[in-house]
Amino acid sequence: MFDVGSFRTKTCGTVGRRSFLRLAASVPIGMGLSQAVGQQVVRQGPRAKSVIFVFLWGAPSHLDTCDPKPDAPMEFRGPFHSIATRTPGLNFTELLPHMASRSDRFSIIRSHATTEPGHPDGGTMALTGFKELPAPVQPNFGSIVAKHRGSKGNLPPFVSLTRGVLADSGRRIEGYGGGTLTQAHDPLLVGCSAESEVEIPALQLLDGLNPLRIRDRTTLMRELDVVPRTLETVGFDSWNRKFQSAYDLLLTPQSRQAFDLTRESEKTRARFGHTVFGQSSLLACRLVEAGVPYVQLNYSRHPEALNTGFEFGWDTHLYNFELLQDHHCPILDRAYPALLDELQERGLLDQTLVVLMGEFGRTPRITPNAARDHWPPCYFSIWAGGGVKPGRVIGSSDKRGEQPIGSPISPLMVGTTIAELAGLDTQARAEMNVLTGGQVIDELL
Amino acid sequence: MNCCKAIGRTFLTVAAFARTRAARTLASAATFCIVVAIAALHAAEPVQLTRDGRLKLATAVCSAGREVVYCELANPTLYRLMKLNVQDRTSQPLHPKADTSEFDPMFAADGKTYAFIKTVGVLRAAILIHDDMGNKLGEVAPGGGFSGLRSPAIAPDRSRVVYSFGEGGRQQLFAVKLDGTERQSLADTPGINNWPAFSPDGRTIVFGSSRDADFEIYRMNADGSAPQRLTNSPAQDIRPKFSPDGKRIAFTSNRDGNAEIYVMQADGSHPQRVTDSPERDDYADWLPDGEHLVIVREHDGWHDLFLVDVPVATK
Repeated sequence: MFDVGSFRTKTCGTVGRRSFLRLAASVPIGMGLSQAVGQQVVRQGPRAKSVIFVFLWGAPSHLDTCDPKPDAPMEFRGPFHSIATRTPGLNFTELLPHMASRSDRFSIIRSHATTEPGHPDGGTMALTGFKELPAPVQPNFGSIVAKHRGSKGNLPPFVSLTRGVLADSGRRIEGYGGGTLTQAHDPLLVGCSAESEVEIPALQLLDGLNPLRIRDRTTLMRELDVVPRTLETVGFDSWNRKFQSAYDLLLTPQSRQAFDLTRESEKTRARFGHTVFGQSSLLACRLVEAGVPYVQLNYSRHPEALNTGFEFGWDTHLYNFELLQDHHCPILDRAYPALLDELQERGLLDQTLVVLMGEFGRTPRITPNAARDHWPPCYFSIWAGGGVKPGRVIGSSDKRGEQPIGSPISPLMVGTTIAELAGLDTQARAEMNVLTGGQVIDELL
Repeated sequence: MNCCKAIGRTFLTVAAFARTRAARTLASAATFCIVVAIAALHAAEPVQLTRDGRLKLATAVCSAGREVVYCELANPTLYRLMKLNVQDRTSQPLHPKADTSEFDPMFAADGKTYAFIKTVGVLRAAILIHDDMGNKLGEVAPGGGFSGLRSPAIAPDRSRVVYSFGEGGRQQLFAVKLDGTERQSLADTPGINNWPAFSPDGRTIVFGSSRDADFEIYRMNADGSAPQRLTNSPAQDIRPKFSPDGKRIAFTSNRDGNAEIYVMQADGSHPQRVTDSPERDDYADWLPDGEHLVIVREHDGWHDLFLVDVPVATK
């Protein structure tokens, strides 16, 4: 079911409902905001028509997942057995058998390093390639690709699959959106439930609005007339800019269908697992199929693993081994292989770049409370499709997984490589004034 | 004539072999295999007990098998305890007002006293011990900083609660009195020690440990003495539970490729696979009859409680 949620009204502004109607009517049907600001000319055909950035926010333990150290001392290696993958010499832990069985479809980098030790700043670094400070915040990789590629029809060019802006208990990730490219290039936030219900937080302002009945702008206007709540307290100026694309996509059946997971068979939905991340992964596949250039597929909205009121992320300061074993790895090991399989079977993998990573690694030495803390000096990423040569193991970490051996690979290099594969060559990046100083990870290509 | 001689020699050879110890052992093994095969043929189909499909962790049989308490992901931010009525298959929250995650339920032999884990702050979790009237009997608070306890198990005589706790870079097993006082270390080794469970007579504790490499099943005396390794597989063996008669142990293993439920004798011999599903089977607990297990099964991407038969041959 395509369900945009409960449309709870917020009180955060003073624009009247009639003002909203006038403004809404003034936007041409079929013109998304990205189109309104113009498209960049693609100078080089992209190897990746679309990008799915799988963000394991909270930072997974590299030793307990994709970079096990079975010969390290017990206070480092952890309790999980190491298993072979289909790539000679590459082992994962026993928690990821399905990913291991598909290693011939992806390449792995085991020599990442970042400088930012906390979640919001580390997240911004991971998503933009730059530190939050000094201001201004640089754009998310998705915003860069979105500006370069523009939107297709009424579909937004950058979708972030989450029920709200990524945030930890303190504050949000500043690098979640357009940054220096302006809010015009922020992602459209889209949530997804374990039961395949799709929710667009931007549309939760209007109690009673039923998107299933919206067929054109006139219908939308009529729907709004019967909405039981008024918009008198809604901050319309900011609302309109951010959320216009959400309404645009509602106005065409093709756009709505891209978000409708009920159009998939139960067998296909089951393949991904009935979890939020599983169904979000299927939605990412559908969006790419429909032509969305960049999808940020977030494992969770929050990084913390056990914090009341927050989604369960990969930040396993407590219960690291239990959470990986019981929750995170079974979910990931079902959804990610399903995503690769589904893209492959739909003929999309070659033209879709799928990058999976967190914002840093976790302490190789097990902490006093038998878990793992943040570890920026060494972590991993996995790359598939979209021009990446599969089956490669790029870089390595030392015997205890504490440091990369050789030159580390930075978040800026990640963003630069994504941009390059998505069709932004050096000149295009320079003209947009983004990813300055970044280098492509040549070993992937 | 030659043919008759050959038959006669063969008969004599077989008759002589049949009198040897090797033959008796072989016959015994063959009989065991036949029993297993017959039992497998007659095993009933698993019975689905819940149908909501939500992600589930842990099962705890209580009320003489009439109810099962389990843990489910109620929404993306909350794990809660649910109580299932096995007869009518309805479930209700065990603590309807709980607004922080709760998990790892475990009932005492009296079916009334139970322990569970409750988050009590940012990355902090305690053990609470309640009776079935909702009265708090005891609490084991976490230590300072990020700290949490896991897997409480109540002794059959309700004298102590055993649990797992990360301290000193390893996860140890401790015991406290029911009111949470008088902590005593039971298993202090390198690695992770977890999932303690008492034998019905209270003399033995079975648990999982990575002390020798990956997770295996161990047993020890209730005072922590005489630890003994029961399994030896290259994959993880976890979450052991004694059968009601104390003669067998159910556990989860991924030794055959994915997580399945196994049952072995209490001395670790004759491990047998009880479930065979393409997806994950985990979190087994015994019904009082010793012939059924309640498990969490992943099926078509959903997670539900199922009732499965335990093959007669495991007895």
